[in-house]
Amino acid sequence: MAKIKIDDALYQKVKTLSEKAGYGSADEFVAHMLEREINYAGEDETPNDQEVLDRLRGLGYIS
Amino acid sequence: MLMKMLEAGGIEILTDHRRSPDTDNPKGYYEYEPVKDLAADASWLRETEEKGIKVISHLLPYLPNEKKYKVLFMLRPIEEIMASQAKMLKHRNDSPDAAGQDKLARKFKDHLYSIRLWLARQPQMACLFLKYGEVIHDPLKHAAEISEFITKPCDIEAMASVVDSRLYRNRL
Repeated sequence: MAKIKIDDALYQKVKTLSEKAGYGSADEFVAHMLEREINYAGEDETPNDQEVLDRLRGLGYIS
Repeated sequence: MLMKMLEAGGIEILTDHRRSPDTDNPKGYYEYEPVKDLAADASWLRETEEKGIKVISHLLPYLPNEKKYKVLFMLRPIEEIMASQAKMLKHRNDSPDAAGQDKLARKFKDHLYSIRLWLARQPQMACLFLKYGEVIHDPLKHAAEISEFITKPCDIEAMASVVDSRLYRNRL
C-alpha cells in the first residue's frame, strides 16, 4: 500500500477531525476524503442532489 | 434495530406507528411523520425532550441548533445500504435503474463523508458512531456503550435481546 508524507501538525488536525467524525483511523478518513475529491474533480455535482432526494422520497424517508 | 434497542432499554420513542411492519422490516418501523418535513417545520421538536427519534442523516442539518442532541449514528457499508434499498423499492414495485446504482452509491457515500464532517463541527450534537455489523456481532457490549453515551440507565440485557442477526440479510 502506498504512503504519503504530510506535515506532523496537519496530521494531528486530520487525526482529531477523523476521531470526531467517527472514523476508525486517520488513514480511512484521508482515503475517503481523497476518493471524494477525485470522484468530483471537474464535475458539476453535489452529493445531496435530486437523485438522492428522489431515492429517499421513494423509500418514504422524506416528503 | 437501534430504535428497537432503545425502546427495549426503556427509552421513550417518538413514533406514530403509521408504517406497518412488512417484509423489509418485519419488526416494524419507528418513523415519525413530522420528521419527513423537518426541513419545513421543526416546531414540534419543542415537545420532544428526552425522547428517541429516528432522523435520517440527510435531515440532521435541519434540527434546530438551539437544542442539544445525542446522536446515535449507525454506519453500514454503502453496498449493503444500496442492496437493502433496492429490495425495499422492488417490494414497492419501483425497481431502481440498475445502471445508475453505482453513481447513486457514490453520492450516498459522499453524503456520509460530508455529514460526518458536519457532525464533528456541531457543538450542540454529541455523536456516537456505531457499525451495524459490530452491533449485530456483540449487542451486549454496544447496548452498554449506548446507555453510557446517552447517560440514561437502560436495561442493557433487554436492549441486546432484541438484536436479531437473522435480519442482517444484505450482508456483503
